[in-house]
Amino acid sequence: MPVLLGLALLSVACAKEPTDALNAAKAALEAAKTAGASDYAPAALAAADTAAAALDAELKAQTEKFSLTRSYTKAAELAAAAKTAADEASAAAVTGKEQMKAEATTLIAGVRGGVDAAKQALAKAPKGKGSAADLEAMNADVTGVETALGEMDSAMAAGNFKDAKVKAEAAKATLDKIVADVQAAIDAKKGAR
Amino acid sequence: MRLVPPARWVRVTLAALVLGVALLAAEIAASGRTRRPAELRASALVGYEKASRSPGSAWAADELRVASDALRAALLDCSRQDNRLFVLRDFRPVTEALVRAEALAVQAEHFGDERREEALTDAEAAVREARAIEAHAIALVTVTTLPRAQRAHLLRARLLLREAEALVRQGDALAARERALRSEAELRSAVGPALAAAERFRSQGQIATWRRWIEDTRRHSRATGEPAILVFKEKNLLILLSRGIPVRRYGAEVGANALGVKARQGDRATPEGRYRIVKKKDRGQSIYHRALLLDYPNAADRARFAAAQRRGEIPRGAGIGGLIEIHGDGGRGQNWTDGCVALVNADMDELFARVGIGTRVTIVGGDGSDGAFSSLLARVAEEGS
Repeated sequence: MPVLLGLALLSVACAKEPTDALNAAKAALEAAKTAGASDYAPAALAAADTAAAALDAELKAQTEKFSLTRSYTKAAELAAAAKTAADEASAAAVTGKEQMKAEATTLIAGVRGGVDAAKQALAKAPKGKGSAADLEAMNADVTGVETALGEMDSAMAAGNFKDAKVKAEAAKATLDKIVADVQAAIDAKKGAR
Repeated sequence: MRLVPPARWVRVTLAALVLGVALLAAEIAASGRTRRPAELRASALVGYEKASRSPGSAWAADELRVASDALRAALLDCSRQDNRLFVLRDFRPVTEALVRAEALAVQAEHFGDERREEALTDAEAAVREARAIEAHAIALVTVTTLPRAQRAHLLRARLLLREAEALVRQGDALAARERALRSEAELRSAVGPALAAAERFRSQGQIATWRRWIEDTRRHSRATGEPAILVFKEKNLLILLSRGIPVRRYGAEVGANALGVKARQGDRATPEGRYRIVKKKDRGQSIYHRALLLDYPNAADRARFAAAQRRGEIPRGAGIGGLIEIHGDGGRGQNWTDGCVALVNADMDELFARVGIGTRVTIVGGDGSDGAFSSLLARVAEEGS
């Protein structure tokens, strides 16, 4: 009799859904998505999603069983694994975002320096027939980059580091071309003498 | 105590049970139905993860959804079998479901990659199209000045195009195409009005008018023996005629609004028409080295100005302008004047010595042959066809 009672109690205990663990896993997955895991840690998020899928399958299978025969031991293990995977995705997203922020910050600083370098190069650019229109276009490009710096700062402030990085790369390419073109013009003039 | 042998029915029942268990065990061993497909399950999960994080996943959302549903159904079946009594388990349908789920994930990844490649090709085409328009815009701004609003469009366009190029290099096809299309829109806003204004350099009617003026000037110079001057705006060229024959050719810089026809004071366009020199300003009399003052506005200019005012195209208080000269201090490499024609000083000295008060000066946009605007328009038309 005591044995039977003990077995009955044990089956009831195992038949309880591990609600806390399930909620924790769900919250962790939401947190990973909010942290931007889809952009900055897609591989880790995919692993967290499949862990959640395995958990869902186990929960559903238990729900379909007769209540006295249910056991949520495995579900609890899967919930813990899903939470771990989601936490890893969150951490990877934070790391990825910080890395993107650092890259964008470095590039934008490079653009600011590049603007000064381009202005100095343009001040030394050879003037004369045929060059005035080019110089005006290059000066206009530098002005455009200075305007774009404001857009980059806004993107950084909004946490849109990927966009800021793309703008900075484009601006840097423009400035590098200006410096190279001016140097080529200087070299050509030296060669013509 | 003597053992009582079991009744016959008990012996038969036991034998049947043993046989049954043996048969069941044999069936389980032969079919393998109770064998959990752990490796297949892991492979299906890995396959789905790989497909959902692949660069092409954004282009295969529907296929991934189908693969996800199939995977979830397979996992559920697997869990159901896990939870059955051992002898009742049958993982064979689960095996098929997992194989199918993995195949769907592979297919989704494949479709996504294909469509991403197509999207990248589209993005590269959009970037090329924008680059072509940018080249036209750059060609245009070397010969004329765009208004401030259009210059702003051009600046934005060029930065957007550089962003599009960077995004193509990164393989971000959607964002690259979006930037390229925005760049193209800005470029069209920048140069569209100017290119439309440049159409008159290809207009057969306009060209015929200019050619008539040129021929009249040549004929007059031939008949009278007097020198005459022809100015071709889109070629940045001034030709001195003597007895109707070109004897000197000089580079000439015209108004910053090189595309425009002079309509009023301050529009920075060089007028087109038939004029005469009314005054010669020697050194010390002009701020531009030496100058030849023309009789702009003439009667035709006044009539055109009045008609434009009646149509409301020119504000009431606006002036027609004046002080249009051929002068020195040219050689800046671009069209920069407020409407005058500028030569380098050495050329101006030569011309000044060979012309006089009353010398005819005919200024045309072009003559229908190669010039900055007509060539640009021909290229635009060719690339657009």
